[in-house]
Amino acid sequence: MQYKARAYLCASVLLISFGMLQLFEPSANTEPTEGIDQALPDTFDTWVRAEYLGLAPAKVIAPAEAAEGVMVSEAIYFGSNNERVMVSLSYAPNQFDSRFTAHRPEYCYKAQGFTTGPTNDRALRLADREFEVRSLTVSKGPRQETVTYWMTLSGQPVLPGLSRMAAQIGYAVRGEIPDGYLIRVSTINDDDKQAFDINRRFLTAWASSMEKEWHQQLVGIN
Amino acid sequence: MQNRELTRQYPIDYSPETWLVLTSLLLILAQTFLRLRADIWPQEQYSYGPLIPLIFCYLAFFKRKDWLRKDQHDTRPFVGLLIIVLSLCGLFLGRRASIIALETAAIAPVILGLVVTLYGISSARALRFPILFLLLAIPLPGIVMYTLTSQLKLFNAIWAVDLLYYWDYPVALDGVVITIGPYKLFLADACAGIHSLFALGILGSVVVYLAPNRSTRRKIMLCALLLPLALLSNFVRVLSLLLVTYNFNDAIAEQVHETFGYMSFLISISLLLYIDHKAQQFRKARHAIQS
Repeated sequence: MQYKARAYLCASVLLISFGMLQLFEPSANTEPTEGIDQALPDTFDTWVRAEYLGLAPAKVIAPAEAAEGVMVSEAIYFGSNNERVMVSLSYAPNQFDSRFTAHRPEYCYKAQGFTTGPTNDRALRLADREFEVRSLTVSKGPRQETVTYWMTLSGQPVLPGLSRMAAQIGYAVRGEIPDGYLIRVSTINDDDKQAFDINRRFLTAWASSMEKEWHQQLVGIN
Repeated sequence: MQNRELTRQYPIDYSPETWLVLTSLLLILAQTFLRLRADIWPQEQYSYGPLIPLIFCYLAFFKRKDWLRKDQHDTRPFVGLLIIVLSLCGLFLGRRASIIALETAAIAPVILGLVVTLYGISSARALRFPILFLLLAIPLPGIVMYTLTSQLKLFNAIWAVDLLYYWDYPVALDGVVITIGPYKLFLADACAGIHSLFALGILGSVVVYLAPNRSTRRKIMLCALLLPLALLSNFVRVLSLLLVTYNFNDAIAEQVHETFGYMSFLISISLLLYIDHKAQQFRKARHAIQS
């Protein structure tokens, strides 16, 4: 093949791709989410928010460089047996953008000087829906805390790792940009089994009392 | 006459077809660069970003006699076009899903495919460093960046505090908070030295690549030296900031913060050049003894 022919061939491949790129722009999942504080009500089941009991409100530490659209809400709930559960809920509109992707709590706790124990994934049944959540026990000095969390991509619960990557590529092929939540609860307790049980009971009660739209976003629908 | 001789020797190709290919390439990549400029390069750790395409253009132009020739006989149009189409698929997927890393990763193979199709395998070989260099523009996934940053930060904190403790300074470490004398210092992400690590790696490798009369093995060894040099110089920077804070005060430390950053960068580049210079002297001396 002559140089000219090869050059024209290359140029046409590039120009055709350019045209196709203009035709298929990705679409973001821009369903406006109301303030996520609403997902953490004052009371539900037997759980009561700390502020409702007249205790100091949970202080939300906003990310230092919170990007546009990122929302964080935190609360401390008291249970009927004086259990205390910390909840943290964060939302980001674009899980394909490195500034928005949810960080794994494993690393965040480590960065704060915690020693992190082994993580384990177990299935949790929340309001008729079963999916995997990740638990890890972290400690710093005398404080031992059991953290249970999961993430979502467009309302589907996922855990970081290969399955999340597979899900992301699926969205990419469909040309959809998923939004995502990080749902994290934790209990300070020296007995990690007991602590996980408290987390589990809290999550079960919370999920059952959730309004439909929140249920859809945080736990997903069957 | 001499000019014509040179042209025959290096029939550099500036034909209209070349310009057509170049224009369509720029057209397709423009959006990627605009997105990098808007989303990635403003981030501190990627501040070196704009340098990469610029250095690529400079290197490709600098080496143009080695590759920009249309009389080559080892072109592989089918292999080249296959590479182009596959990497354009990656670009397409990346742009469609807003995965900027995938989009950026596709740039280098698109260019490789074009060179193989138009100018042949030997031209692609001549351009291998600039093309590989383009891969450095790929932003790392957030989690990799995060792990790297936090690990480096802890590494600096632990070693700095251990060393100062050994020197009998009143110092303690809690997470990434260092207490020294009356001061409590929070190690920011910048203390990990990620941006100086990357910038040093990039500029250092270009310096090494352009250095004449050095074997590929030596160039690779010099590049490998960049990593410990960058780590060491950043560690020295964190250590000296701690010492300045303790011996003077935190306001002065704040002032010299940036200067120390530039200094550590200059020191590591100079160290690299010094080591290279010494190695060269050593080689000459050995040759002199042998002959």
